[in-house]
Amino acid sequence: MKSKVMIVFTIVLIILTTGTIVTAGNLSVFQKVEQIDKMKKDFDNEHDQILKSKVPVGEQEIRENAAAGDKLKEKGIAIQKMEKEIATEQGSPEPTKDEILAQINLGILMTEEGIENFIKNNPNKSKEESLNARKDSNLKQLETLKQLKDDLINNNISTNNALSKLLEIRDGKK
Amino acid sequence: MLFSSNVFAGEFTNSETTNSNFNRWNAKVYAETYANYPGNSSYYNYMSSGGDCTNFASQVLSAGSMSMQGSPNYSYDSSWYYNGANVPYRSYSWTGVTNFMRHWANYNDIGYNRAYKFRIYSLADALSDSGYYAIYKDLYEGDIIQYKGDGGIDHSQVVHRYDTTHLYMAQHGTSSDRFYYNQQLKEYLGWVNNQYTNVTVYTTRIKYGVT
Repeated sequence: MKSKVMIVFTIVLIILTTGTIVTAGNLSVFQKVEQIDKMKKDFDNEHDQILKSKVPVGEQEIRENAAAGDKLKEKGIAIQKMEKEIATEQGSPEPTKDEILAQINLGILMTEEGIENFIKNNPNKSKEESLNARKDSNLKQLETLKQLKDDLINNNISTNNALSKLLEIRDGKK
Repeated sequence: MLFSSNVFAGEFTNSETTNSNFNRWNAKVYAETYANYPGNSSYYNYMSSGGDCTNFASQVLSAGSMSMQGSPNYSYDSSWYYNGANVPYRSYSWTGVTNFMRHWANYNDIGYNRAYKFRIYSLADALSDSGYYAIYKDLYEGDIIQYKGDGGIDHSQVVHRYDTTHLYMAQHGTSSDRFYYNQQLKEYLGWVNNQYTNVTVYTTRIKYGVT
């Protein structure tokens, strides 16, 4: 009788444990987002503590300090991987207008710098001959980026379309 | 030290106690205070004479308590100092991308290797998930990223912040609008990839500790 009870108890325990693992591995997107938010808050708190702690001096202290940093960055990478999973399931969160404008501004700066470097390295050539890494005209790229910036500022293009166009300019057609 | 040691190395990792006095918090605060134009007026601004990027990276390391050394031997890899705008009052390594790399690490296997760790990535590797994770995991406030490649890219940046996803870079450049901070590394790499070819990305971790 005692052994039968033990068998039933073991079976119930196995079912419960398996159920818990399956549930943890199959979090809904909403649950994952909640979990990520919590992980991000923990990350920021730990980061703040590490950054404001005293600079470690002894070998043991230095090793512990570096290990804490490693562990924190591993948490960051775990969050990045979870965010990628969510993006695969339901698409990436749309960046804000300001975030896209910042990316366009960087593109303008980098294209202008590319043209300047080209002229510096080829003093006998003109700006029109400057090409990006895909061999497209840099002047044309600059013009397109400035137009995109204007369109976005004046709400002539949606943020979603602006982002697609920006990525196409930067990375080429996929 | 009178003469450059010219250690042959490439990628390396030094002792865990190397540069343990470096204060990342002070480096971060300096980078965020003086990233935007015109920067710190105590230093000459090289914006119109080749660019101010490495001058700014050197200032950040100095603010983090890395000691100057080697004056007045301005051309030695072992020298890194600033007492005035021009040589011999400053070392080549204070302002030059390659010379800076040859002080804190090495270029084409020649250098003084003063930093804790030095890694080299192709741009394609740096942009890949595994390469980006490696760079993200390795660098903290006050560490350095440098770029060299075809088309004229020759640049230094400083990590001043990180969060769960990004490393954020501070830099000076060849014009006032190229003085900025809070730039996500991954976005920057994307535009480097748009403009330049055969780019190598060099990461220099100044010390092992992360504070």
